[in-house]
Parts: sequence; structure tokens; C-alpha cells
Amino acid sequence: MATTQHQQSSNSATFGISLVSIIIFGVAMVIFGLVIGGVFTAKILPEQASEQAIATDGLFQVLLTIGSMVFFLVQGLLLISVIRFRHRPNDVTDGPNIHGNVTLEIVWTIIPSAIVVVLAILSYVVWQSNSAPQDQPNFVNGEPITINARGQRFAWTFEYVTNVELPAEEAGAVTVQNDGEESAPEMVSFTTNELHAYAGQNIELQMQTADVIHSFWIPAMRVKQDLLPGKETTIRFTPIATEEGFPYTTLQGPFDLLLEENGTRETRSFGDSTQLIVRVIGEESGGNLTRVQLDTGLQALVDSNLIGPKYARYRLNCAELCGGGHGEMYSYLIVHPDEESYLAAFYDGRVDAVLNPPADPILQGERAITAYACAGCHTLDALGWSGMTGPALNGIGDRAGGRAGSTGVSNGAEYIVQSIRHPQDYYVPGYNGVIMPVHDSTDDNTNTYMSQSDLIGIVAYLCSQTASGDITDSTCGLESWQAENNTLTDPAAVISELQALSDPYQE
Amino acid sequence: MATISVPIGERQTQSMPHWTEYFRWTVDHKIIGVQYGVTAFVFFLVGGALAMLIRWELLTPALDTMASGTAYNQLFTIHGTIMIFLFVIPMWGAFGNYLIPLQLGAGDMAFPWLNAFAFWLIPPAGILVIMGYFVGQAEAGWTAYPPLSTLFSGDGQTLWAMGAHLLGFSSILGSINFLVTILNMRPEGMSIWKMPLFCWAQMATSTIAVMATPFLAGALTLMLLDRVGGTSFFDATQGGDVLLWQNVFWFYSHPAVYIMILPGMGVLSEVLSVHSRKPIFGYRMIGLSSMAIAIVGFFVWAHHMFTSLQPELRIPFMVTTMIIAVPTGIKIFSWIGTLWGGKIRFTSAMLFSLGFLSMFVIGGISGVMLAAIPFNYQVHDTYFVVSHFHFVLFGGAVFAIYSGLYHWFPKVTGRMLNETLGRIHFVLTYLGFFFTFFPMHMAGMLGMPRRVAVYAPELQTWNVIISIFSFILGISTFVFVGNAIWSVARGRRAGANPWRALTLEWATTSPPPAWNFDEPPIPFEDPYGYGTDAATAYLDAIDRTFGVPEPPRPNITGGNSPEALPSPAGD
Repeated sequence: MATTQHQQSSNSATFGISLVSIIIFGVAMVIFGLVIGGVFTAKILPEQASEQAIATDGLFQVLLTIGSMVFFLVQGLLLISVIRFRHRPNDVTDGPNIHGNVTLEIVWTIIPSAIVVVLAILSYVVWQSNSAPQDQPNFVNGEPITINARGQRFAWTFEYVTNVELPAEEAGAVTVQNDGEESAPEMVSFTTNELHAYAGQNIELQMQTADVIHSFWIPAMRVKQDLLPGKETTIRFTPIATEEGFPYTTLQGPFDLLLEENGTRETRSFGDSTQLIVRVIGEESGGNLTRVQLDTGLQALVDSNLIGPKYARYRLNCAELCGGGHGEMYSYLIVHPDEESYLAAFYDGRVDAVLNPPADPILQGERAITAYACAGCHTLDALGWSGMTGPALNGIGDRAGGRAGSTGVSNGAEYIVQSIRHPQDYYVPGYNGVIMPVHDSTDDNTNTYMSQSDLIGIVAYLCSQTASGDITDSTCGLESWQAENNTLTDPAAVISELQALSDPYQE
Repeated sequence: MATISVPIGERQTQSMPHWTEYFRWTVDHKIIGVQYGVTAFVFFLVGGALAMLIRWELLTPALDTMASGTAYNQLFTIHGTIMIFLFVIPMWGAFGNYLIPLQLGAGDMAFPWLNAFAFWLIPPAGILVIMGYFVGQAEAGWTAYPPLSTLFSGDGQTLWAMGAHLLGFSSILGSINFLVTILNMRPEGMSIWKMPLFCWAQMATSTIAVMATPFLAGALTLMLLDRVGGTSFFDATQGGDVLLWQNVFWFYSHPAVYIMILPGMGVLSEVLSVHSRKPIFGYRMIGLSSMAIAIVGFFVWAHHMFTSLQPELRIPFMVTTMIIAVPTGIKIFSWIGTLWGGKIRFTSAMLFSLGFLSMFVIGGISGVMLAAIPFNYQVHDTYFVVSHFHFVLFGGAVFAIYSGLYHWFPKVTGRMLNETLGRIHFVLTYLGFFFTFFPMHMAGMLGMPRRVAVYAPELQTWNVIISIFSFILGISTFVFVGNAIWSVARGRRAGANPWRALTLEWATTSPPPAWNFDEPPIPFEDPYGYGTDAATAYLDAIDRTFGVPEPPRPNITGGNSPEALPSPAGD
């Protein structure tokens, strides 16, 4: 301001700025910055759902406040200039012959320099606190577990290596014995398509990509890190409980929904195997009914007794261009309110499924298929997949037999086996140029490995996907595929028939 | 002051070369300048059409307009490539070619043949890039990160790389020519500190282009070798490293941002001074800050890699990135100092320069925000970044290009652009631009990654707003195209110096004759010395020698606006 006064004294006729107007402008600028920074920071950022988000948003508020002041300063001076110094009709003279003002130029070099130094220091402090290693990462049951995130065009998978020991005989069955050395006890591990955590858990992901560069981004957590071929990268964040709480729940079939669409209500029934994620809005009719919102935006009423454990859900994006399905490469972070509900609703069940695998190959396959990156490209309503890059898997059990005939394999089940193993040789019409990788059951060192037991389960599961929901409508052509109450009567026979079909590995 | 009543003299009615000249190999820098400009503008229309398709697709959160995600990816890949390599950079080549010899009072560029050669590399390169679109699978974005661009894309990507290679070559040749011309062909009496600021800007730009573009060539060569030569520079499974590409590519492509914006800043320095009838404020600081930006610009590249670079290397690049805001700020404040106390004429050229000032500053603010690493993690590779660089490259470069076109069109064609249409064009562009790109900040922060055709449904409202205004922005272009076509045939005769500007390009007929000046021009002691009797006398002398502009015709649309011209002195 002092220098502007200097301007005033040296060129008072031209500049004619009074100290009062400078002060008014300065005060207005500061108020503008504080108001914009104060009001809009929270509104233009997503939910603040991690400890890192709190620090980052604090930094953003400073940036927005200072940025708004600069905006006000420049636009204000510009506006004053164009109004005050506009050309008046019939004025044929030129403006004053002023070439500069050294003091003023020094001021507008020094002040911005000082501001950016302060911002750099502030950013450094926030960066360091946000990215430093945390205490007790990935603690479950008082011990750390390992979570590996894997990006593959176009889906995310998360492998949990737990702190639960695999029984010796089980471990032997899946471990490749190497040179007779005593190896550490094998831990139970399982893979999911969604990332689970509980509020307050320090998450640390080891991330690898199977193909191109991907980037792990959860907007609500304010964290992002690329997955780079040939490297392992790490990302850390700590989900917290937010003001919005834990509004999501999974409705487990069978249930009836009273759907509200365009002012009309319509009851829709959902079968046994349905899992539907809804956002709970509130109870109605004295607590008997609960209003929920579906992902499509539709609202519905449901019996309050059906509302299960609740959790928070945040979209997890891929932020680095990875090909045609880049926009579809998203998943969710599920945040459970506390460790007990995390164990009850997610962790214990997954561990148990590994320790006590179901006899039914369809149930095995339902679990196994989520360990692979299928969701990014295929649509399968039963699992909530909506990928568009590859052919839809809804009703694949109805079509497999027909496709077997046109591709020259013996039956529908073999068609599915072959099109998982060699997708390029079994183009579905309209999907030429498929990018689905081959799956190989012989070498578990490759990143395209799919164990034969997984393959068998997945094929059985896909064979069971019929439009009617009745698994006996399947056209897979397996002799042992007999069912009672929509459940396989002889699961072992189905497994051995599929084993014969997928063994030996056919080149 | 004396009344000037010079009739429109014969020398003023110099006409443009026959249209067929523009399709020939020629070494006349003025024809080459127009060749560059028209070619670049045609590519601007193509790139703009692709942008409209992108926005049409994004009206809904699902993939519907385009046949596949890959087809969508090709849209923005070619959009970005065309806008950067085939529009903005060649467009500044157009301005540089046309204006540098004229502003220096020279007859032509230092190397006329090289000049022509550099231009004629562009059409085949453009054809290669566009062929890449039709061959298919050039889907890795203009940044072409491997391994997507090497192991996973089709032959279109190879054609893309070859096209980009040629364009880089053209840019290097053109820049060498500019540097030699600026440093060696100034007239007597014009020291480097008396040079028009547009020449300063082009000098800084050409320095960057000569130093940085070879790195692009290196990176593209490695990519082509990986694609067709069986090497594995970027294949991690064979010992390559994907970060190698990112480092080398951004070592060129960040300075390239300044290649695209510095000449625009040069245009602004000319237009703001002339149209506010006041000397540029802080000449030396503006000239030196261009060089400062050019130098510091080489030390900020890895801020594009805050989510991929090794964490311990991120901080230094944050600091350098924030520092570069300082010379940019100096320019902005100097320009406001120029306006302050002036007699501002709201000509179309001036409106676009004022538009630049008010929009570019938003890009500058978001640039500092992006440099803050913790916030960068939230918005890296999102629509916030898309917004930021469009504020810099559209709100900056394109506004400056329009400003320069309105300002120098009379010199190139001998005729004025219609001012009424110019104002309509400005208002549509300004509003269309702001409401297209400002909401992108919010979309990005709220969770919209860039380069996606499928996005979270809750972001649809923002995208619909953005798309609607982008269509307005698209339409605004045709106002200019119509104006230019009409004006080149029917526009008001401009005379030699319609804006009463002091730089040398105005001290000859419009359009200038072959070899530009019939007699060696005498530069005025100060290219921005408005407001002195000496300057008025100098301008009056030019008017006496070359004649004054045809007066506005009130009965013809747009010719009747009083501010369309600065009133000639003594009216």
C-alpha cells in the first residue's frame, strides 16, 4: 500500500487513488477471500472421510482463500481500470507517458514470492504428515495383515493375506513345495473386488499392476497413487467416521421392495440369491418400513427387519488412462463402523470360507470369480457388475450350449472353460479384438494364473446363471448337473466332470 | 493539432497476393505466415469438432454416443494432439512468421527457404495424425504413456508418433529461424531493449523450443523403436521403465506449455499498450520475466508426475512450480499497470486481451493449487486439471490468438474485421468459455477422473452444464469464421496504421509489399512511447505517407461503432 501511495504522490493527477479507497479495496479483498474459502471449501469437495482428508482440506482452504484474494485483486483492478479509464468520445489524446515504477515492481515481485514460500512450507508439512508411515497399519485382531491391491484392465482386486494360519494339510494342497525347505506357516488369503476397512483402521496397500499404469484414487479419502509396471507402490490412508455416518446396507434376498417411480408405487420381489446395496434414508410408518435409495437413484420402501449391518461406501476410481474401459474401472471402499462389525460382516466370513470351503462348486465359484478382474468388463447383475467392454454374463448358462455348437466344442461347459483360457479363440460376435488375457492353470508364477479349482468353480457358477434363475435350465450339457430345490444334488460328480473337461490343459 | 485530411492514397490499396499463391511453395514470410495461420485454424475447427463430440458423449454418465471406450479415447487423443501440435504451436508460428520481420523492419526471415520447409512439414504430419485416428487404436491420450501406448495400442499410435515427430522437427526449424532473425536482423537504432515485446516473447519461446523439442524427438524415437523395432525401453518385464517416458516427455511438454503461452503474452503486451494508448508498464520486467519463465520452466516438469514419481523427489518440483508463479504474476500486474490511467478502447482485439487477463489469472491460481502436493493428490488426472490447462491454453493462448487476429488482420488483409461481429464473438466466447471450464473444477474435485466416458451418475448435472456451454463456445467460433470471410472481401479499408501503433509493422502499407518496406523504416525511439508529442508526430507522419483508414460506414452493419478505431489525432 505504501508504494501505491508513492504512485499517488508522483502521479496524483493520473492515479488519483486515495488511501481510503485502497483500504476499502483491501478490506473487501480479504473479506471476499475469507468468505469464499470459508463457505465453499466443504461444498466443492466430497465427503471428508479420512484423516488425510482433514489435513488436505485445511490446506485447500488456505489455497482457496489466498487464491480468491488474488482473483478479487486482479479482477477488481481490471474492472476499475476498464470503467475508470475507458476511452471517452471525442478524446483524442493518448494516455500519460508512464513507463513503470520500480518500487511497485519490486513489491509485486516480493509479495507473491513470500506467499508461494509460505504455501510451499505449508504443503510440505501437510504432505509429510499425510504420507508418513502410520502406527499399526492394517491391524485386524491386534495384528497386522497384508493387503495387496492389484489393478488390471479394467478392474480392481484386493488380496487379503490374513494373520490366520492355514491348517497344515490345506496348506500342502495349495503350496508348491520348493526344495524341501521348512517354510513359514501358510496364511489364509482371500481376494475381493471391493476394499474393506473399518473406521480408524490405518490402511496401507501394496499395489501392483498386471498390465498398464493405473492410478488408485478414492475422492473421499483425498489420496491417489499410480500403479507402475515393474514396481510396487504404497498408499496409506485412515478412514474415519463422518457426519453422514454409515448409511449403506446390503439387502439379502428374498425380500420385497415397494419401488417408487414417477409417483407410482410398485412391489417387486427379489429371490434367494439377490444381494442389493441400498442407501438407508430413514424409517417410516412408525418404524415398520425403511426408506432406501438404490444406486439408480430410485427410492423404495422395505421392511425394517431386513436392514442388516450398515457401512459407508466410497467410490474408488482408476485415475490414469488405461484403455477403453478406463471409466468403468471403479470399485468401492467399504468402511465398517468398527472392528467388530468389520469382522462380523466381512472378515470372519471370508476366512471361514477358505478354511471350510463349500462342497457346492457353484458356491465356490461365486467366491472365486471375485478374485479375478472380471467385473471391469462384464455385466453380471447377480454380483452387481456393470462393465461394458466385454459381453454380458447375465444368462450365460442359457447361451453356452448354443455357443458350443457354433464354436465346435463338445458342450456348453467346455465352451466356458475354453473361452476363459483362450478368450481370443472364442470371440463372441461383436466383441472382436478382445483384450481379456488368457488364463493358465499350469504355471502359478505368471500373472495370468487361474488355479484349476478356481476354474471349475467359476465354470459351475457361470453355468448356473440362467435368466429364469432355475439352474436346471442351464445348457452347459453336464450329465451330473441335477438339482433339487435349485441346489446341485451331487456336487462332487459335477466337480469331477468339470475336472475331466478342463484337464489336461489344452493348448 | 493539425487536421489530417490525407486522401486514401494509392499505396494504401496494396492488395493481397492472388489466392493461388497460398497453395504454392514460396519463401515470402508473409505468405508462409498466412499458410501457417489458415492451416492451424482449419485444424482448430477439426479439433473443436472432436471436443463437441466428447461433450456430447459426456451428457450422460454411460457410454452411448461412441461405439466403444476405445473410440472415445481416440477422440480426446486426437483432440489434444491437434490442439497442441497442429493448432496452438503452428498458430504462433503464423504470428511469428508474419510479424517478426515486419516488427524488426526486415525484408524477410533470416532463412526464407528453411521457413518454407518448416511449414510444409505440417500438412503431412497432420495427415499422419488424422490417419492414426482412422487406422485406429491411437487411444493413449496426447501424453501417450507407455505401456498403454506401446504394448496395448494399435498402428494408429505409430502413425501418431510419426506425425508428432515431424511436428517437433518443424517446430525446431521454425524456432532456429526466429532466434537468428531476432538476434541478427534488428534495424539500426533498435537494441534488444527497444524491441517489441512480441519479439521478446518469441525469442523466449524459440529458446525453449530449440532446447526442449529434441527431448520430445528422443522420447518419440524410443517409443517408435519399442513399437516397431522390438526394443523394450518402456517394457518393465524386459527391464524397461515406464517413468523414463514420463520424465523425458514432460521435460519437453512442460516447457511446451510456455511455448504455447509466451507468444500470447507477447500479443497481450502489444495490444494492451496500443489500445489503451499508454506505454507498456515495466517493459524490462515483462521481457525478462519471459526469459525467467523460459528458464525456470525447465525445472518443473515432474509436477506432472506427483502420483508416480518416487515420493522423495516430489517436494523439489513443488517448490520450483510455485516459484514460476512469480514471473507470471509480474506480467499480470504490469499489464494492469499498463491499463491504469490509459484511454482504453474496447475494440475486439482489446476485449480478447482483457478476457485473457481475467481468465488466465484463474488458470494461474489453479496452477499454484495444483503445485501443492497434498491437494494435487486429490485432483491429479481429474477434470480439475482439464479445467486448469484449458484456462491457460484456451483462456490464455486462444484468447490471445483471437486478440492478435483482430489486431493484425488489417495488416495482413488490408481490411478491418467487423467490430460488431467481433463483440458478439467475444461475448459468446467469453461466457461460453467460462461456464464450460469453470464448473470442471468442481467436477474434478468431487470425483470425476479425466479421460473417461463412464462416470459416477451424481456428476451428471455438472457435465450437462459444461456440455451446454461448450456447444455455445463451439458455435461462437463460426461468428469469427463468418466475420473473417466477409471482411477479407468486403471489410473496411484499414490503411497502413488503423490503431495508430508505434511498432514497425504499421509503418508500411497493408498488406505490406514484397520485401515489406519500400524504404528502410526508421523505428520510433520507443515501441510503446505513447503520450508524447514526438509519438504523435511520428504517427502523423506515417498517416501522411501511407494514408489514413477508410472511415466507418454507418449504414453497414458493424461499421458504425465509434470505438472501432482510435480517433486519429486532430479529428
